[in-house]
Amino acid sequence: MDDAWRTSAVGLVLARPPRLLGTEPFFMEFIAGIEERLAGHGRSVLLHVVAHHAAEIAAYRRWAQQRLVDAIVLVNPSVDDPRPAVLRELRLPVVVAGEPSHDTPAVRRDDVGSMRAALAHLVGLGHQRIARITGPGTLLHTRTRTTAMLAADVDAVVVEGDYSAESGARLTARLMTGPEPPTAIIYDNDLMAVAGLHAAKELGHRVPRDVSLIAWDDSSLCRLASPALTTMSLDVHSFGESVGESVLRLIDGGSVPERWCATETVVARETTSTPR
Amino acid sequence: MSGPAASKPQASSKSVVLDAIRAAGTISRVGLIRATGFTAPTISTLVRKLINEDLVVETGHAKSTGGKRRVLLQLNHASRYAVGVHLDHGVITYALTNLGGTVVARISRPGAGAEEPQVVVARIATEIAALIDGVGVERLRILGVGVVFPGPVDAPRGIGGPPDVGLAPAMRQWNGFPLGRALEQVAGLPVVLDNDSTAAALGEHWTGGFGTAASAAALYMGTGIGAGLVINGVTYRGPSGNVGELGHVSVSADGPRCWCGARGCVEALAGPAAVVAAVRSDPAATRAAGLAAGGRRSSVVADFAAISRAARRGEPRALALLERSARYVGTAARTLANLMDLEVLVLTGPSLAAAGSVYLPIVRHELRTAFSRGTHTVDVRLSRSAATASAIGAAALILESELVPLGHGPRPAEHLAEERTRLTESAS
Repeated sequence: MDDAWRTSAVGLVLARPPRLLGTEPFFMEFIAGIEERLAGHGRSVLLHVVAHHAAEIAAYRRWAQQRLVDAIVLVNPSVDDPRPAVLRELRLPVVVAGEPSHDTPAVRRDDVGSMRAALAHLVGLGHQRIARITGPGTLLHTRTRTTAMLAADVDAVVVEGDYSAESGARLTARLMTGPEPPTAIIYDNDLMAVAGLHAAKELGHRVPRDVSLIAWDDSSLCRLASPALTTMSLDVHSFGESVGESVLRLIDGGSVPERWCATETVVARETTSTPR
Repeated sequence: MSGPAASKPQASSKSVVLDAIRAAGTISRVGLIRATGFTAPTISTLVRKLINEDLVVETGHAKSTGGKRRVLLQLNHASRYAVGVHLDHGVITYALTNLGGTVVARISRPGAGAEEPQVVVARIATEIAALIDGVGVERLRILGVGVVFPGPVDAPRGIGGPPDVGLAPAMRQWNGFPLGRALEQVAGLPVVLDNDSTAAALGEHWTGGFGTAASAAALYMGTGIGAGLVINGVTYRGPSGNVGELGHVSVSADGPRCWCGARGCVEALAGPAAVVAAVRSDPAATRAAGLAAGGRRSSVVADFAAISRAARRGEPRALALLERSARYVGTAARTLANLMDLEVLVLTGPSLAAAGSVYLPIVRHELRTAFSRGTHTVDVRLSRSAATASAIGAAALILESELVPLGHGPRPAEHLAEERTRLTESAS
């Protein structure tokens, strides 16, 4: 067999259940950022979408055996993550997008600073009872944001969602029909926020007069929602570029400095205001 | 080796059932009787065959409505796969999808550029093989390869129409190249060909993006502007594949000359290349968008994406140029809606993956004055997979030719089969 892109591809496995198709815009922009850095060096990103970590690990073993990729970009680091050990055993160089384990090269997001910025925006408007609908609790960055939120001087309520629109709608309805509904809700992604906005409106709440909403991940969905969602905005493309830069250094055998994304900023649109 | 549509002439009633299951997502045998008009014994036999072939699985029960609970059927997504290749000047994008059209793997490789078609075809074949290996799918589960490109399919020859306008300017050396036959020979898999905009529309149809609309279109923006039409669930290709050339709808009779020879084409006035040229003619806007100055070559699609990101950051000049472009594109889209009585228009392609949030509200606004508004609105949406739409659509070409009734499949496969017969004869 011809060596098509052996020694020129970087592997990225996305483990997600099929119903979370809406996560595509974030990852495609992230990958576009990595590709922009790699393209000048004749390298490409091989994206493989699987249903769970076991299939992801099987892909790494296959790729190592086939010598199909020169490096791996590991996304969504999780609690008790089995993947880094497997990658070490397979001697596949890895760059983590997020919090690394041990001394793995990583491009980190400032989850603590970003959570503080989101809360500061709401507290500045006069909110105190603030809820958050999280992504899966097994993800490290979910836990980091939760710790940062619970450490802040607000009356925090944290409920666990799973990034799906369904969980965003269901948990928003539960919060808003509970005994002490929050005056503001933070969502860990865009899909849950858009669904939560619809759910709040369906229950007869006016947004932002009755409840303020902040989405994470500034996507077209947020910009096009009605009212347009206030979001935490990460420059996803440059996040990808940083990862691409680290991957190139890693492949070249150089030392890879830990990189950090800029702290996410609040893009204030139409779903946050002073509480009633 | 034979093209999939030509190889299964006996499969049509089974295909009807399979397509009904795909379109429904999950459906009971009783539902299939209603959807297809076949008798209960026929459905029972065909469903058993499909289950034996591993194409369909039983998946739990429908809610009881009294009496016996109905078993639900759905496609066995992991039973078959297809490879889609979007061949373009600047980049070649590969998507490997499952039976339902969901992307399992994707990679972008350097484009065709100025290389000889034969050299590019050899590279595509090895890259396809590596993609299949990388996903770990047995080769016998791969139905074939769909290849799409920015130009019409000339059935006997592969690519191209008249040599002067068959393809976008950058890929003229491909005119008349027998792409399908050449790739089948080196890849060892059936190959079907189509135009990239048409494929984007088919991909949208296959993955449910058009809902139940009887008249739907995909507005595709990459380097240029195109459209694909799906009418009553069937991709409309026209007699020569030169359908949906939305970029060459004139929005100004006295406008500038387009590369196609006509005047005032929306692509010449406001397509991605025109937006990039306008930014590049303004040094301050070029810097603000972070475009590489003069020396380093970059593609229209990459530059357009950088301009879109600048607009999102609030750069006023970038945003104004995109908004102007969106008004022109919306005007051309209204013409398409008025001609085709469109119910759904999906915005897609890499340039709209980048700039969709600017274009969507403006195109929606323009379509509020569509002629059909007294009867129905035109639903304008962003594709869920705009960045990879044509490669997914290319894979869907293969899925369609395997799964849907004869006569609906892509015509090129039949022509390629004829071509192969001729070749065999001349070789002997």
